[in-house]
Order: sequence, then structure tokens, then C-alpha cells
Amino acid sequence: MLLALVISGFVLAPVAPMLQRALPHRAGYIVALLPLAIAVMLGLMSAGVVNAGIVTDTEGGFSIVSTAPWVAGLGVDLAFRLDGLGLLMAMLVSGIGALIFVYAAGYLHGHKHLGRLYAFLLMFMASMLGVVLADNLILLFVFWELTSVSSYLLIGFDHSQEKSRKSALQALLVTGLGGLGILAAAIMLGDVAGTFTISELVLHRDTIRGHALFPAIVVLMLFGACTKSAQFPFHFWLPNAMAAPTPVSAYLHSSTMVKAGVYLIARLSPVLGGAAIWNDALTWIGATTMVVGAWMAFRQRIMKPLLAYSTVSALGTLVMALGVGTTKAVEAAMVFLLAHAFYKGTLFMAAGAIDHETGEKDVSKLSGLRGSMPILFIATAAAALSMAGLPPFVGFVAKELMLKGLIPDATRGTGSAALTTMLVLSSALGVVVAVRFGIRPFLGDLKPTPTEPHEPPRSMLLGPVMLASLGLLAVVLPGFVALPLVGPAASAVLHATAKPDMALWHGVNAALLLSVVVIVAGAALFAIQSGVLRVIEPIASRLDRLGPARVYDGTLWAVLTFSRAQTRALQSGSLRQYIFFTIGTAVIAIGGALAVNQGFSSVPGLSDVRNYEIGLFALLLVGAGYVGVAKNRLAAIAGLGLVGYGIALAFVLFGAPDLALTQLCIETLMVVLMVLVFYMLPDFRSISNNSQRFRDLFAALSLGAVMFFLVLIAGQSTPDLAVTTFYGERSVPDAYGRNVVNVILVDFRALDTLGEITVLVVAAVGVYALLKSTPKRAKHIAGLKEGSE
Amino acid sequence: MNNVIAQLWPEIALFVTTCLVMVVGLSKDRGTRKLCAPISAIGIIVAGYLAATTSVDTATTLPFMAKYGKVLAAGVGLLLLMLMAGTADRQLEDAVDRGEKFEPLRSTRAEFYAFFLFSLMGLMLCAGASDLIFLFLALELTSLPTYVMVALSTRRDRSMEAGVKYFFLGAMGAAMFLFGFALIYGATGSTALADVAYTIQNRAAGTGSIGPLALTGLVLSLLGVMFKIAAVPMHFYTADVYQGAASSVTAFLAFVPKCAGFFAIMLLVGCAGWAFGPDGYGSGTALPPELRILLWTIAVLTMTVGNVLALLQTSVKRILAYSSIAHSGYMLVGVIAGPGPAESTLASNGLAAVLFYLLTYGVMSVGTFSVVAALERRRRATAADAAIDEVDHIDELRGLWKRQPHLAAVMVICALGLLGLPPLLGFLGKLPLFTSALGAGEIVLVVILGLNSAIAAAYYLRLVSVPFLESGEPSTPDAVVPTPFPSRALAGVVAAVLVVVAGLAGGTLGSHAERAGTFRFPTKTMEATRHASQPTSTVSVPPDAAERGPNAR
Repeated sequence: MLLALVISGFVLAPVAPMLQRALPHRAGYIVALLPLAIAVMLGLMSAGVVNAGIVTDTEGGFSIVSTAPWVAGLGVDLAFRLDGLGLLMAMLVSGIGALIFVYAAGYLHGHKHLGRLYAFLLMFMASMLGVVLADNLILLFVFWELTSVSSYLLIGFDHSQEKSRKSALQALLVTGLGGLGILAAAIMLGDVAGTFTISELVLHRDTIRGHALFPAIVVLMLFGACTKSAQFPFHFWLPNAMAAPTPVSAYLHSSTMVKAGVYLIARLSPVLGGAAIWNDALTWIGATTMVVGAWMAFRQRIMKPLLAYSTVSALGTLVMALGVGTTKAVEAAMVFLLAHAFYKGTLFMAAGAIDHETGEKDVSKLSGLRGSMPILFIATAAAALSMAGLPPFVGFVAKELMLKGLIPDATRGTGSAALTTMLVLSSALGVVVAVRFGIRPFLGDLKPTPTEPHEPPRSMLLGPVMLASLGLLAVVLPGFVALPLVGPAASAVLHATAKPDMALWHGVNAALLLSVVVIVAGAALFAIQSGVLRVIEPIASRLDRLGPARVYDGTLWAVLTFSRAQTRALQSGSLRQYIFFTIGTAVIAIGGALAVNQGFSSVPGLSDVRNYEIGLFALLLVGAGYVGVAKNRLAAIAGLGLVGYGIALAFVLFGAPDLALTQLCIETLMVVLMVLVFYMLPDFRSISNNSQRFRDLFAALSLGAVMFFLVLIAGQSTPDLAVTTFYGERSVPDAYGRNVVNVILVDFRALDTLGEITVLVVAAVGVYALLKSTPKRAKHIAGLKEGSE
Repeated sequence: MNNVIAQLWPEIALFVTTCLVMVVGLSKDRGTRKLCAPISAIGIIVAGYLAATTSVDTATTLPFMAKYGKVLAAGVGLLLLMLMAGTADRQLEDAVDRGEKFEPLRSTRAEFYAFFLFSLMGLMLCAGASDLIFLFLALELTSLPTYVMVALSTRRDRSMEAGVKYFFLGAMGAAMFLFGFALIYGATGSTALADVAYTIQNRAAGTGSIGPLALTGLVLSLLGVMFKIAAVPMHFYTADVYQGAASSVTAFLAFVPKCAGFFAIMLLVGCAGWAFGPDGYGSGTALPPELRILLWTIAVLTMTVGNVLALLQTSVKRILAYSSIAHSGYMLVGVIAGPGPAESTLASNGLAAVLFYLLTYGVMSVGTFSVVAALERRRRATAADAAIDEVDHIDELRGLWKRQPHLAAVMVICALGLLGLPPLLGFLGKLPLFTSALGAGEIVLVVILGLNSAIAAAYYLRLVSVPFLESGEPSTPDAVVPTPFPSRALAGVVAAVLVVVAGLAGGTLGSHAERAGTFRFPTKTMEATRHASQPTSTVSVPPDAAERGPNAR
């Protein structure tokens, strides 16, 4: 059942463009029915209305499991599991998805590639459902990468723009690299725990925690999660990803995909959590991201980057809360996750709507829009107030819970005071951002905009209005909207019953006081913002240049430069250079292997040298040297011949006359053959300069040295003499011959010899035929060349 | 002896086909000449069927590799054959169409198909090689035809240059591994691989070292075979040759010699490796430390150099050439990981991972090459003297999505597959390499493999995105059009479908590879059995039913 829900998106994706062509005005609404159906189905399944094999466990959580085989040999199967955490995420993915399809139908109405956008969005939705429902680490990775790819396709949707393509690639490289980190961590986890099934990993918790690979697993897993969820210092891709059409930003880059990292952290908290490295890293990465994001958002005036940075800040808050990891913090994180999805989704869709209807992207140039777009104003203002943390919106409850989870008390360490301060600071900045974007443009006098402002079409209002009202309903009717999602989700993360307290009023306490401080500070900051920005902007923009985006650019540059240098150095196209490298490799490999093996130590001492041996050696040396300096081919061949005859002489001196005879024949034949061939070659030219010759000499000498040692070592080995003995013994009795080599050739192996002779004859016939046909053929080739020119 | 012949029925079938093709290809009748390709196809199918049904020789260290390798060779061979359509004799046949007389002396069709089949036969022989001499002949039978195929493949000088370069460097490689084989024989007194393995590992068990001579022999032979798989620093020919040859032949080069090389590498490394459990030679892996360092270095260099060089290329074939280098590096990781513990699965057996990866790589690379092979650039529009160029520059694929959506889809799917994107076939291929290397404790290697996969994304994504870009310079008279050989595009489509379908249903293929990667430690009995079937012995032992593999028929 779960498998079908996940697959349905992939199935519908290729159909969507055709649907768009057939029904250009209604396709978006029809496509939106799928996520809606999925959301309803998930709700019914988790409520037990639809019987899908629901299991309620003792900790108040529940789970629905469905498994199908995939690659058994790798321990990878199509295992899906729906529990509280999965349900929360899947509901967001499918519910917001339905609204986004409707919104996109209005936003990109008449765009020629709208069908393609639906297809990509469906693909993304299905992949994201896969991520949050997968119960197998490798399967999760599969869907994880698919979300990265669909995000790449969606960011680069407007692919005629250079900037879109660049941003898309950047997002893909950063999140894709993170994905590989997850793959590595998943494989290690599988290796350590013996299973890839996520729900079974908890059982091996202690084994995993005690294993030497544990730190590596944590670091890689966090790396993957942090790239996806745009945590500092990997946050830079998210603002650039705003090159995507607004429906995409609202869907992927605020409410769903960027939360995949948060999801993964929450999902693995029961397995990896509790260890200092996991919790501390998460807490401080999250806190840093929260502050940096809020600060960057505070400095923006363009709508989408402003919202993007504020999303970065919110993601930081979530990661921080999961890092703290206490019951209260996790509950707060789940409520905050929901609240953020509601208000940020609204705000993004509002940003798109405002841009769509006014043609203006800069909030400071917008004013007095309340009259022309009253419905959008109400929805946006509600979301902005939720974001600012004002009652009676869910954002207020989330912030209260978050503060309660952080405020220092007896059980918490000294760090919690710092965390609380950071949270207050970033929340105050968040208030400024919320008011600047969500409220200010609608108030005051109407300023002229590129196009006449008017209320957006109904399709573009549905999303903001729905989400904004949900943000209110979650508090007014918590048992209806929020608790059934948030409670089980927190329980699944904590592996213990959790029931967040979502009441608005708890009497006067520290959290409430801090909330008041946040709002007052935010309001004050809003009043003086233009002055503050004027002072800090020159300094801050200079600091920006040192940001992590520079590291990304620098890395790309370095890889490309390295590539260029390597191409120049290695890939010259010159055969001689290739051979030089090959010889060099052989020398290093053999020499190195022998050095490691200590093979050189087995080289025996040399026996005394006799005079005529010196003479012979000198002869060989002269021959070899002459080949190197010869000024024409004939001389070089003669030099080689000298070397060959010298070797034959050596065979004679060391008692192998038949070998010497063979060598003499071969040498003579070779010289004749070479002369024959050289007759056909063009004139001799010296093609190397002195330094090249020196290099070649060096290569030759080193190869020679290696061969020298090799021969010495080979002489040391005691070969298996079985065959030798056999022929030695049988030669006279069986074949009546005393020359064993001859006997082997003509008696024992007579058939082989016959075969060789036959081959040679056939080859000779072939060569003769070729020689005969050459002039004609050459004429033909010449004729062809003329024809083609 | 009978035992050996019994293994060779697939090769014999191919040989018979080759003889037929040589005669048929020279026929005066055009229709008869054109029968070369169908006859070859039938021959390959028969050979594949025979390979799937012949018995298994269990007296080797990798008893089940032969069957898997031969069926693989037949399967991918069939796709490659589809790609070869129209490569040989195209101008000649066009001339005949214009009414000129057919001249057998100028025709290369018969040779071309014969060489194709010979090379494939060599690959099959490699998979089943049980002896050093056998292995040498098989490797050379694989390679020698390819030198000629490169030179024959187009009429351009560049093909000639490529052929000559390939020949020289290939001959050097052959010389190296022949020398290495000789040293191995000198060190162990046998050419039978099972004997060699038994002797070397016995010695290592006694002295803790495999001895300098055997070591040098193995190093030299491995270096020589590295030419076949285009591993750095034996890779130099790759880009020049791949670019110089016709695209269809390049696809052949990217698979057949590489596959043969990996069979040889596994057989050779198996002589010294993986025998004594995880701490066999005291180095933390089951390989002798010298070999491990060598393979490790080559693997890392190969992956990195291949991927980094590919980044800057603008020629599709050069990109694919460097990518092919990088993939060799990935597969070497599996060789280093080794067969893992006894009763290992695909996830822990590096050899099975390599064998599986060869399959996935073969299919995906045929797919990518088929896109360039199925297109051509016509310089002059008049039909009679249209000069035809190969499509090679990456910008020539611009706008492909609009003109030939099926080819664009093939490129997208296969390039994403090569990138290892889940859930395509390439991902399934890469995963066991990761898991087996990790199981063998090669964490650094796994990390480098991961980083390389990330670098590779940059150039594969260029290949993926370029068909969707607007085609530039519409004013030029040159036109990129599909070739008049639909079977080339069909090969690509088949490959792309396989990449998707086999990726989703990879379990069966994986289990075949899992079995094929079974590594048997050399034993005395194995040696004895082998001696019994040696040609030198006076009595040849009839194949004993008990000695056959479980799935003998």
C-alpha cells in the first residue's frame, strides 16, 4: 500500500505534460487531486479507518509496514514504514503539494513548459514521500538523490538563464556530495549493525555506539543532513536556489525538501543520539545557522532571498532543538516544524503573488497594497504574525515551547544560556523580517509599481489562505490539526510517549517574558533598521566575500585548473611521451615491488669477470650506443645487428651453441626485414632535441637497471624440473636423438611444428599477395583522397 | 583434454560463424554480402546459448566466472553488433549503389565482421582461461583484431593514427604481460593457473612472502593487462584512440578489451591473493602488500585522473573515453576488496561486484556511444557527394531533445546511469563495490571512490543537459542528422530500457554475478584434477560427473 502511494507520483509524472496539453486550463487542478488523495489516504491509514496492518506499540506510537524484495544480495529491499514522524512529513509533503499544484496553475498560467513543471514536481513529491517513508537506509538514499535531482531540474527550470543553470548545478553538487556522505554512512551502519533496516538499527544501538567507525558514521551522516538542510557553512546554495519559479521555492526550498536533513536527523536520533559528538555538533551547527540565517535575512530587501535566509535560520533552529534532544526540545522542534511549514509556505506563495501582480521584487519599493489585494493581505499578515511569534498563531506556541526547552535550569549545562540568547537574538531579527515582508508593504500610501496591482487569481489565493488559516486553527483546535501529527512524531523521535502542550496561556513565566522581550526588541529594531543597515552594510558586504560560497567557487576553479594542467602535461598526443610514461611506470612498479618485498637482498654476489667478457660487453655497449647517435637508419640497424651478434657470441661463450645459431639466424633475418621496411619509409629526420634524448637515455638506463636485477633474481630461483627431466630421460629411448631441443621440435611436438610451419607459409602467401597488390591499392587510395577533397 | 574442449563449444560456434562470414562478405551479390551481420548475430546467440548450457569446470579458482563471462560477452556483443551496422564499407556500397562495380579487394566488410567475432571469441576464451598460455592467446585474440578494426573503421587519417598508436602501445602491453607470464612460470614451474596459485600460496604460507620472482612476474603481467582496461598510467592511448575510431568501434573498445582485461586481472591476482583470510599476509587485507599497494595506487590514480581529465573535454567521445578510464578505477576497487569471507554475498564479494559492474558498465556505455554513433554530420546537402563526418563535439548534441527525442532519452538515461544515480542500473553496480571495499576495511578507498563519483557528476550532467539546450548556429549548412542505420539507435534504446528495467529488477542479475564471483581457494585436489586433464599427461581423464558444477546439464 505504502509502495503504491510512493510510486503513484512517478507513474503520473510522465502523463502530466500530456494532460497539460489536453486540458491547458484544468490540468493543475486534476494533478493536485493525487497529493490530496495521498494525504487523505495517509490520514485514514494512520487513524486505522483503512486497514493497512497498523501496529500500535507500547510507547504510544504506531507503525504500518510494507515490504517488497529488490536486490536481496545487497540487503536492499523496498521496505516502507509509516510512523508518527513519517506521517507528519508525508502529510506536509502531500498536503502542501496539493496546494502548490493549484498555485502553479495560476502562477505559470500559459507557460509553455507548465506540463514539464508538473512532471518534475510530481517526481519530486514521490521522491520526498519515498525519503520520509523508506525503512531501508539504501532505499532512503535512493529517494534522497532523486529529490536532489528533481530539485536540480526544478531550479534549472528556466534553463535559458545562465544563472538558473549555475544555481541548479551548485545545489545539486552540494546536496549530491552530501548524499554520497549519507551513502557512505549508510553502508558503514549496515556493515556495523548487519542490517540496513532503519527500524531495526535501534536494536543494535549499543553495538553501533561502541564501534570504531561510529565517529565517521556520525560525521558523514551529519554532513549529508547539513548540506540538504542548508546548515552553515553549506547554506549558500539555498538563496541561490531561489532562481527556481516561486511554486518550487515555496514547496521544495521552504517546507519540504530542505527539511529532509532535519527529518534524517530526527529519524536517526534514537540510534545515534545521546552521544556527545552527535548532540554537541548538532546543537552548535544549528545555533550558528540560526543566527547567521537571521542576520543575512535582516540585510535583504529582495523578497525571495529574504525568505530564503529566514528559512535557513528556521532550519538552524530545528537542528539545534534536535541536538539538544530533550523531550521538551524535541516536542518544540516538531511543533516548530509544522508551524514553519504553515507560515513560510504562505509567505513564499504571497511573495510570488505580489511579484506576479505588481512586477516588483524589492519590499522597500512596495507600499499600500492592502487596498488592491485585501485577501492576500490578511493571509500574509496572519503568517507574518505567526512567524514573528505573536499569539494566537501557532508560531507563538512553537516559540514558547522552544524557549522552554532551552532556558537554563538546574538540569542544563552552561551552554543553554548561550543558546537562549542566540534564540532570542535571531527571533528578534525574525520579527523585523516578518514585519518588513509580511505587513509593511500592505500599509501606508500606494507606491507605483511596474504593473497595476490587483488581487491575484483564486488559484493563487487558495494556498496562502489555507495555510494561514491552518496556522491559526492549529492553536484554536489543536486536537484537530496539530496534535494528531505532532504528538506521534515526537514520540517516534524520542521512542517514548510525548504530548506537546499547545495551550496559549500558561501564566506568567520566563518563556513568556522572553517572548515579550523578543517582540519589543524586534519592534525597536524595525524602527531603526534603515539606520542600522546603512552603518553595517559596507562592512558586512566586504565580509560576505569571505563566505563559504567562495570555498565552493575556489574548489571548482582548482579542480578545473588541475584538469587543465593535467591535460597539458599528460595528454600531449605524442606516442613517444606515452611510451616514456609507460616505461617509467614499469620501472617504478617493479622496483617498488621488489623494494617492498626485499627482493634486492636475494641478489647474489657476482663471480669474477674474465677478460674476454669485458671485451664482449664493450662490443655490446658500442653497438647500443651507436644506435642512439646514428644519423641514418641503415647505421642504426647495423648497430642493432651488432648488439644481436654480440648476444649470440655470449651464448656461444656460455655453452649454448644451438641458441647462438638461432640468435644469429633471427638477427640476420631481422636486419633484412628492417631494411626492406625502411626502404618504404620517408627520409630520416632527427625528431628529438638534446633534452629529449637525455630523457630517453634516462628511461632506457633505468629500465635496463631494473632488468639487470630481475635477471639476477631470476637466476636464483629453483624451477620445477619435472618437464626437463621427462624430456631428458625419454629423448634417447623414445626418439633416438641426443639433442633434446631437436627431439622436442621434430618428435615430441612434431604436430606443433607442422602447425607453425603451416602458419608461416600461409602468412608468407598473404604477404606476397599484399606486396603484389600494393601499387594498385595505393593508386586507389590516392584516387579516393582526391575524390573527397 | 575432452574436458577442455567441452568448455569451448561457444567459441567453436563463433569460429564457425567467422569462417562463414569471411566467405559471405566477399560475395558479388549485394544481398548476400549484407547477410554478414545477421549471420554474426545468429552465431553470437548460439554461442551465448551454448555458454549458458555447457558444464562448469570446477577445478579452477574462479569456477563460475567462465559461464557468466561468456554469456555477458554474447549479450553485450549482440548490442555492439547492432551498433556496427554500416561501419564497414559504407563508401564502397554507396559507390556500388551509384552503379560502380564491386571490387572484392577494396571491400573490408568480411574482415571487419570476422575481426569483430574473433575479438569476441577472445573475450570468451579469457573468461574461461585456466592456463597462462591460454590466457595470453585469449588476450591477444581479443586485442589484435581491435587494432585493425580501429584503422578500418573510418577513412580518415585520424583512424589510421589511432590504429597505429593503439597497436604500438598494445604490443608493448602484450610484451609486458608475456614477460610477466614467463617469470611466473619460472617461479612456479607451471602454467596452469590453479597450479600457480597453489604453489605461490603454499610458499607464502611457509615464508610469509610470495617471493621476488613470482612477485615481479605478477607485477609485470598486471601492468601489461592494465593496458587492456585503460588504467592509469597505461591509459594514454585511450582518448586519442577512442576519438580516432568510429563511434561504433569505440563502443566496442570500451567494453570488450576492458572486460577481457578484468577477467585476466582477477585470474592473475587470484594466483596470489585472497587466500588466507583477512590477515593473510599481515597487511590487513588478503592481498600480498606489494600487490595491494600497486593495485591501490593504480585504482586511485585511474579514478581521479579519468574523472578530472573528463571535466574539460568538449568531445563527447573523449569524455566517454576518460569516463571509461574512471570506471576501470572503480572496478579495481572490487579487485582489491577480493572475494570476501566464505559464503559471501554480492554485498561482500568484490569479485562479484566487479563482474556485475562489467555488465552494468557494458550496457550503459553501449547506450551512450550509440547516441553519437546514430548521428552524423553532413557537410553538403546534395545527396551524391555529401561528405559525412562523425558527430563528436558536445554542442552537436544541442537540441537533440527536439529532433530525436528517443536518442536524447537514451543519452539522459545512460549518462545518469554511468553517474550512478539511483535507482538506475549504474547505482546497483556501484553499491556492491562500496560495500565490499568497506567489508575489506578499505575505508580510504571508499572515500576516494565517493569523491570521484561526485566529480564525475559534473561532466555526466553536461551530457544529460546538453540535449535540452537550444541548438546553436542555425545558419551553418552543416546538419546533424540520424544515420541511415536504425539498428544503431535501436541498440541504444535497448540499452536504455535495460538500464531502467534491470535497475528496478536487479536482483536476478545480481544473484548471477554473486555466483560467478565465487572464489575457491586453490587446493591440492584442484591441482591434481588439473594435472589429470593436462595435455602433457599420457592418459586423458574422462570428465567425471562429480567434478562438474552444480548446474551442469
